Amino acid sequence: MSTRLPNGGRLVNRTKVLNFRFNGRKLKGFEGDTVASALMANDQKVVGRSFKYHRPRGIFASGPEEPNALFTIGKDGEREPNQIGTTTELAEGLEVKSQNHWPTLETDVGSVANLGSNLIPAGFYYKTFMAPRQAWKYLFEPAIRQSAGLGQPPTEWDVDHYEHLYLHTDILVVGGGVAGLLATSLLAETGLRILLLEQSPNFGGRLVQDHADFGEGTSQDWVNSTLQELSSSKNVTMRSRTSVAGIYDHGFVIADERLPNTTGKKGYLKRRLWKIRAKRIVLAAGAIERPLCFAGNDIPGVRLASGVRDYLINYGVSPGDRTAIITNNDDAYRTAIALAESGLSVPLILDTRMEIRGTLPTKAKNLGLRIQPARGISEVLGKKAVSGLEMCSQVGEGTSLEKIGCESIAVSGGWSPTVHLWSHCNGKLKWDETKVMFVPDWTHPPIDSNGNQNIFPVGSANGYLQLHEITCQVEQIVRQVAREFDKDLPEIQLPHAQEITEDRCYGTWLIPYSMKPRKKMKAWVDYQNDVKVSDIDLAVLEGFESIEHSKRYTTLGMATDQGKTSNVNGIALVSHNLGIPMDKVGTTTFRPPYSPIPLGAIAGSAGKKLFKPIRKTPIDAWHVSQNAHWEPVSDWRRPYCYLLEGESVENAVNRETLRVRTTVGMLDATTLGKILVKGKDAAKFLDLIYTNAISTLKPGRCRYGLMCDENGFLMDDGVVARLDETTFLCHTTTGGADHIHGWLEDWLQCEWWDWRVYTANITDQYVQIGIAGPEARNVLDKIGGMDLGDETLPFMSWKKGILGGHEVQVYRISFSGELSFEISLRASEGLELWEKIHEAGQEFSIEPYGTEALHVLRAEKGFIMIGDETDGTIIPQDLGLDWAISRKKDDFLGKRGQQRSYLADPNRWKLVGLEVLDNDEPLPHGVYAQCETKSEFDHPRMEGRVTSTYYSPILKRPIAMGLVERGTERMGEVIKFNCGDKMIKAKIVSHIAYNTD
Amino acid sequence: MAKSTVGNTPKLNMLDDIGMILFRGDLKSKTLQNAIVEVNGVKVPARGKISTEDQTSLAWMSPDELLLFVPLERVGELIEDLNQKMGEEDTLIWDISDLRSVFEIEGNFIREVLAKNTPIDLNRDKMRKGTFRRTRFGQIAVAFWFESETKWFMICRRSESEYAQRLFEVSSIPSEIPSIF
Amino acid sequence: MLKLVCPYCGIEADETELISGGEAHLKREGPASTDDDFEGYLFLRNNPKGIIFERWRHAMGCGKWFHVARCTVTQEVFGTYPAQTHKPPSRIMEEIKSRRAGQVNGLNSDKAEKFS
Repeated sequence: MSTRLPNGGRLVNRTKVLNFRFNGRKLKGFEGDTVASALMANDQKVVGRSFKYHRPRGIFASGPEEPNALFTIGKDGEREPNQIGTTTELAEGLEVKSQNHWPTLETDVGSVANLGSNLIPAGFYYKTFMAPRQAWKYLFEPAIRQSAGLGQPPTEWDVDHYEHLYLHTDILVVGGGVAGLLATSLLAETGLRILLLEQSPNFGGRLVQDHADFGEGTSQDWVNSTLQELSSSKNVTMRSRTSVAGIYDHGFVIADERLPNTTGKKGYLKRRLWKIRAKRIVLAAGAIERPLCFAGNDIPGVRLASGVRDYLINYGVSPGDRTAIITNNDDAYRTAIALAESGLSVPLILDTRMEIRGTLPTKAKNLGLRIQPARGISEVLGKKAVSGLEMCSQVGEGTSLEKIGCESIAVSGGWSPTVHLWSHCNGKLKWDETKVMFVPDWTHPPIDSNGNQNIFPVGSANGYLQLHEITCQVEQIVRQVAREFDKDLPEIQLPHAQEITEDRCYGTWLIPYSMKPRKKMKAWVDYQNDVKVSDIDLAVLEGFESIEHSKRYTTLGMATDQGKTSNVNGIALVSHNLGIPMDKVGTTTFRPPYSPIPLGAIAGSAGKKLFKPIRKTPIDAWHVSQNAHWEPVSDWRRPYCYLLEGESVENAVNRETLRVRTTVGMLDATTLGKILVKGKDAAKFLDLIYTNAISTLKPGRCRYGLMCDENGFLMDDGVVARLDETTFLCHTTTGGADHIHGWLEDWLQCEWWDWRVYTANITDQYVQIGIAGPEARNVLDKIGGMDLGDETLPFMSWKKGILGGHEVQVYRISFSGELSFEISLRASEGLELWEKIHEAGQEFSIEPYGTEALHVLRAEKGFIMIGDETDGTIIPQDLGLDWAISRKKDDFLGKRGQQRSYLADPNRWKLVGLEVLDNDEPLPHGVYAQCETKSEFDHPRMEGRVTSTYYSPILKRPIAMGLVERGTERMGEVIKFNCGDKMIKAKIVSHIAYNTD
Repeated sequence: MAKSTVGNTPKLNMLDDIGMILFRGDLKSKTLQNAIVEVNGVKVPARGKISTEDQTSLAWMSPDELLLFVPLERVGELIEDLNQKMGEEDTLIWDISDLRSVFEIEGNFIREVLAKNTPIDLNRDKMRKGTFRRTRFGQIAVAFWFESETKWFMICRRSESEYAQRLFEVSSIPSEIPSIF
Repeated sequence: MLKLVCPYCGIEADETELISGGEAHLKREGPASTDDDFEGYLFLRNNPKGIIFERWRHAMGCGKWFHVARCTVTQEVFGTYPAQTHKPPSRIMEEIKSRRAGQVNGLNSDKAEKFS
């Protein structure tokens, strides 16, 4: 029975009771509790099922290293799976659910996997599901998917908020334990900008529960006064509940802040993702205790000794009336002493070492505790909860010497510095044989952009576990850090720490040393991924000797806890198996995040309506009022069509298309890119940019031009208008504006930098209104102000003027084959003129048309569309655009590329029209034409594909364009398109379907 | 350490009728520098800066580009003047008053709200008065400068104004502003 | 997440304000070039384990392209410089030499050798 003690618990407020539910059961905890401490206080032994074998698992640790206690927290739009119970704070009304079991936590069908656990050894999946091939798709994968995974992802929109926050700082201190606090307070004097981040809600780390006194008074006094002093320092920013998740290049750091819901209302700021740039990082991330490998070490009730101590002192929770201790170091005696001093029973301390002489064991002995040197655990007794243990000789094979009854076992296999963050950015580790731990290798540190060390580990993260050592070492390192900013720390009196004599930790990797194979199958190394000692033995036996290989074969350390408690033991077992030193085995690569970050925090505010910027034209609101059906075109939204009451999208498109062909339509063409190119060399420059000649264009005239990349592939097209001798306005596609502007600038800045040309992307300055149809001129004449007759404004020319009282440029260009004008005016006046045209056009039955009608109109005339007829591998010659490629110019971008033999091949697919034989059935978009012959790979050979396909309301039949092998030479031939369930026949015709003259 | 951020949180207002002129040319040229001073009464700003006199501000956009903020009604006349004074020198001068939106940001904790969406160093000794910083705000290109701690300005493309406004709004919820600067 | 000084603006720009543009100092091969030279220009790129000279554009800033000398292994930056040049300036080459003195040669790319 674990339970709340009548007194104690320095972090809980016993006057504030919090109600919560665990799997629907109503429970109570206190303010300051974590979900884990509250569950322990309520004697919840099993908190989840293991990943692979569905074994019952209990709370194992007290911090982010916890492998078992993963919960789904909250419900509906607040639900979050896989939350770590030991770091999740309890809140009023919290809904906590356990995971990975069915139907219930107590009776889990999946645990039959446990019965056959010796049948599912390492590599089981690799070996078993190889054959037959079909079985994977239909049998194995669905079954594995059903049973795999931890919590279920939420299905509702998240109701809470997330955000990012960028902060630049001189020094980031990671960890608010004794080392981090001391480092910060020493550095605060320098006036440098310091950010101190602590993952838990409380500063102080392990100081208070492990050491009564520090400095001049109690350790708690020291923490309080240091915090007080720091909070009044202007140059220090402190944040608790903020876990540093990753350190990246050039001092970039990601930290995840969990914000408490202070009002209890839904829809609050739940997480803040800090994006920090730090010049120097002081890594005071502490250390994590290691478990020991003995049979039954995963039975609920076996916990890390440090965790037991934390629950006792921090939360006033007893792990059970009787706690046996097993250790290979002196630190675990702190737990024994704390338990005894709380009035709980410690029936036995099993120490795997031969000799035990330190200060702490002596104190334990003086308290009357029974200490057994050179002893281990043969097996833990109990199934869903510990009921006792069998003691054995550590050096032997596990013969039971004595049975001890207990409800709780506290384990300590020594400590591992939290070096993850040191390693994220290439910091190397070395094995310290004396300390029995991997420590940061200062000769291979992470570096900044100048090649200088930028992370400085201090305290236990640097391998120093003794308080008096930590203080000296922090001072030394912090002095060095300050000196890098040309700051000298004053001579100071370090807080006094009592010196404690501790004996060496002894590297005990198997308990007992000659563990029997049968026991190895019950001795866990990685709890979360269910990796046992026997799995590592097998991996090494099968030749996976590199730690990177055995890790992947066994999945050791690959769970969400990133092997915080299991990695070092796993490496040691490989080392033990191979008989090579730890250093030679090496470590696997630590990767961010240190602790999982919710996807919401990574997305920040970029969700829902802010997922992408939606660019809108000044006429957007008008489109809304006319019931526009939208289409995204790059970042813009454009009306696809406008729906009349009760009208289908298809009918709307047909109506709009016919309107342009028969009377007049108007189009919001604002999104087309508009790039100014000006300068003495502008004409020469554009001759190189476009495939056709631009320099011969006269001011006042327009020309359709093509741009290719250096491969010769068609990239963008549009109309160029020459404004005056040295100024051109280049229209690009909607999606191409930014890219083409960048492309022009690239050539001007990096290749022809002495040319006298300036460019500017002025797309947003103007609204552009397209008026197309037989009545187009009549509508504009009615508005009045400009002579738009054929003589004054012939086809492919432009002029300035006043139209309806607005200063405008009118371009006489056409993308539909109809009489058409594009009117450009300053954006702020665009809507006004748009409305005037709409009103004036009423007597000519004017209607707005959308992008789909635009597409149908251009396809009827055989005009190409970038992105439909082109895909980045098409040259203009494929599209019959040879006329737009100058033969006179020595050079243009893409000319050399187009000279390559492959692109000059006469067998290339050419643009043609496709007329389906059965008139009712249009060709689907993107389908391929299939030959009778086979390719060299024995697949049917393809000879073409559909690039554009529409219903033409004016022709009353489907029309299509496509690229077909030697298509232009095969007019009249019938080819077959593979449309999945059937073949559709189509005749090769001219790509111009409407009004072919 | 953390003062309460509730109350007087920043608001974003779009300013109408600001004239803007794009000015590209060799900023080191004497002709250009003289033309700018003579026409605008403001000197060419130093790299990364904005200079202001009365109703005219000149912002440094790049080594060969300035952005002129002038009274809207004077744009045509100023462009003509500038073109004339630049004579034969290479230049591109264009009325872009409608290309970008100008926002005025007023209130407290402006740095905090901006820091949620821009990667630049907003510490007080780095982002100072007179600095004109082009960067990104969320996913769009913007520029920031300020007149006082409680009065800043931001520009972005006209078509992206709604995004800027919405992002600013969700970033300035009073209870969700950390006090860090 | 790199942080590079834009040589035009003189400010440290975050990687998210920049667009990368691949290898720097390529020589354009026009219509008169041989197949081999054109292939080299269009397709063949150094992918050194070591120092690379590369192009970056200050896209969310002044819009200018600049060049960076960076070590692909350690992410060290030896300097940035304007794009209007056919080879790295001598101050960059000296910085590389001074920081790489006595170190494993493997970190130096062919190109660094070529320019030094």
